[in-house]
Amino acid sequence: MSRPRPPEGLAAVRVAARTCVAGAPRGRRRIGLLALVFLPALVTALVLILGESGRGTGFKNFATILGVAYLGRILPLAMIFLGTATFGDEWAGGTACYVLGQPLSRRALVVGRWLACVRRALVLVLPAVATVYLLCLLPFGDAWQVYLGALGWTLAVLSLLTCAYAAVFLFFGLAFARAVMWSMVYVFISEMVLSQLPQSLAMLSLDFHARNLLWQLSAQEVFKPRGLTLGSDVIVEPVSIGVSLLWIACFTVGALALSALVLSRKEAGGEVQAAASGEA
Amino acid sequence: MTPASDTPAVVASSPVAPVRSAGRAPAKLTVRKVSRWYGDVIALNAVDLAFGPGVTGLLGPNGAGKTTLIRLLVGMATPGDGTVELDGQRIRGNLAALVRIGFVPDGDGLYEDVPARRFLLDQAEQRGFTGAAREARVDEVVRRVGLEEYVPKKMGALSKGNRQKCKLAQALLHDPDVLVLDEPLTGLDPIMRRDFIAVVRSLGDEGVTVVVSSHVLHEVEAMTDDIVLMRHGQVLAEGKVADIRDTLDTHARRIRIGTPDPRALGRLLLGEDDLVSGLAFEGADLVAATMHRDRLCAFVQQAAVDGAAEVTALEPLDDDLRSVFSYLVT
Repeated sequence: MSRPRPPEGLAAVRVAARTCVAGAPRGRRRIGLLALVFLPALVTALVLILGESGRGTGFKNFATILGVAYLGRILPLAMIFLGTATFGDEWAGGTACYVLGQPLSRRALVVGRWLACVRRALVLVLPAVATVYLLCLLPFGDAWQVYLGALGWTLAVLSLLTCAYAAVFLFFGLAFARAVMWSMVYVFISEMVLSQLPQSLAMLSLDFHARNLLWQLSAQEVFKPRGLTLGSDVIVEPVSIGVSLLWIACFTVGALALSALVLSRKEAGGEVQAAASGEA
Repeated sequence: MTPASDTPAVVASSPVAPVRSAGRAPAKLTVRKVSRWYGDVIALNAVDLAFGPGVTGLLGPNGAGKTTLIRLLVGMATPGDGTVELDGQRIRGNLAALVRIGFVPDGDGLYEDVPARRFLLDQAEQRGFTGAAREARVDEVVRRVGLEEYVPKKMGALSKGNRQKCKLAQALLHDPDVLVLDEPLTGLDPIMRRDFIAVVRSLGDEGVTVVVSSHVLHEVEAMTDDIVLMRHGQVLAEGKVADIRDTLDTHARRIRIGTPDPRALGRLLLGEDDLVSGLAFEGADLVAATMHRDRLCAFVQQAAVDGAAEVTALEPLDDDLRSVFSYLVT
């Protein structure tokens, strides 16, 4: 039998993405993630059933839900579970040797698995956000058609943010033993606290740039990022779309590069060390 | 194969068994002055080894450093010192070397929710098989390891034995030149064990460089005569079991002599100067301990020919792996 050449370049990325099993939302993880991302839709539906249509316009309600629930909270949380598990599950489940034994370049492995993670996340998050949009705007007649452009931008920005979070948490899953805990610390510090600080600090968070992009691309004031309110709002100047896109891209590429570096140094199993220590 | 650690190791004959090559280029795994620490604990200490075509058993008690050595052989760990090479090429991080290696890990980790066939198809795709060739190759390997009936099942639903077969199948998909198996027979029932051993032996006969780690002596004995014996991260002995035994001249050999009158034969043996260092009666047989095996055998045979004693059996009791292991390790 002649041995075929293993895939290289983009083909290797495709194979790595297609054959990525770890971190797939199955069983209880799937139920938990579905409950998490559809929770705002459920609450909105309940509000509708109870006869309340909110205090503002339909789109303002949608923007509020997006800002309060999805950005900075639900999306990062969902991505923590999906992203860290993409590699973390391999070491936790004792299947790391099947990853490290693959004759695929470490860069291709990381990029392929990142794509698989992004695909899984988008399949969960985008329908949930679209559902909330419809539930918020349907009571207002044809208004849902008016804001379709804004919805499109919203979904596009959420997709970008998903790519960045997937890369960051994929790195956390590779680099840390308690990846979920460290990821939550990161989200709390960066996406919840830092993003609310004055602009020079807020700019360090992904959340700020996502809101900035939504604000400028959709031209909807409701998406405007707000600084920390200590009696009065901190003035936030818009950052150019290019800067925000570049920032998100740098986050993503940087996290992927670090992941490839960590993976190339990673070893299979910690049990050897434990056994050696036990022997000592 | 030359041991390079501070502890003198027993080296006996050539470690590379002659094999019936199936047109395969022989692969040589070389471990040079390899050490590996985990914190303050040394798992491998300046190990020098070479593995060639055929089956080599890697033996040692738990904590001897077998798994660490195995991980280094398959490029899943980095040596703290020294090099691990396949035909002169570094293994760790080298895709060209990884392509030639198949690995059956020790742990029980598998993708529980994934059907065995899907797992094997994925592994084959990562190895470069596509389309119908991928399906055909998976079918071929599944047949070889005897897993046909079970591949549609999720791996979480497979018995321990079939999980082991699944791990072996994935390691064989790309027809590796080197196959490394870490405790492969753990948890197998006797029939599966026999089948597994047969597959491993046939791979060795085909010219694959097979390294099997185990701490169960009879498992290794059933697969090969060539062993590497490890303890405390060092190589204690390497080579053929019988040759290693021959070099252990500080341990008297035990020979069982079947005879209807063991006492009479015992008197004869004790009458010879320095021939036996001890005698014991085990059942109806006489067991003699001697430092001069060949002289004792010749003496007993001559006694039988001369009619001085009736001899029904003459066999060494400690030429086996168990004895070698106990003399060296305990």
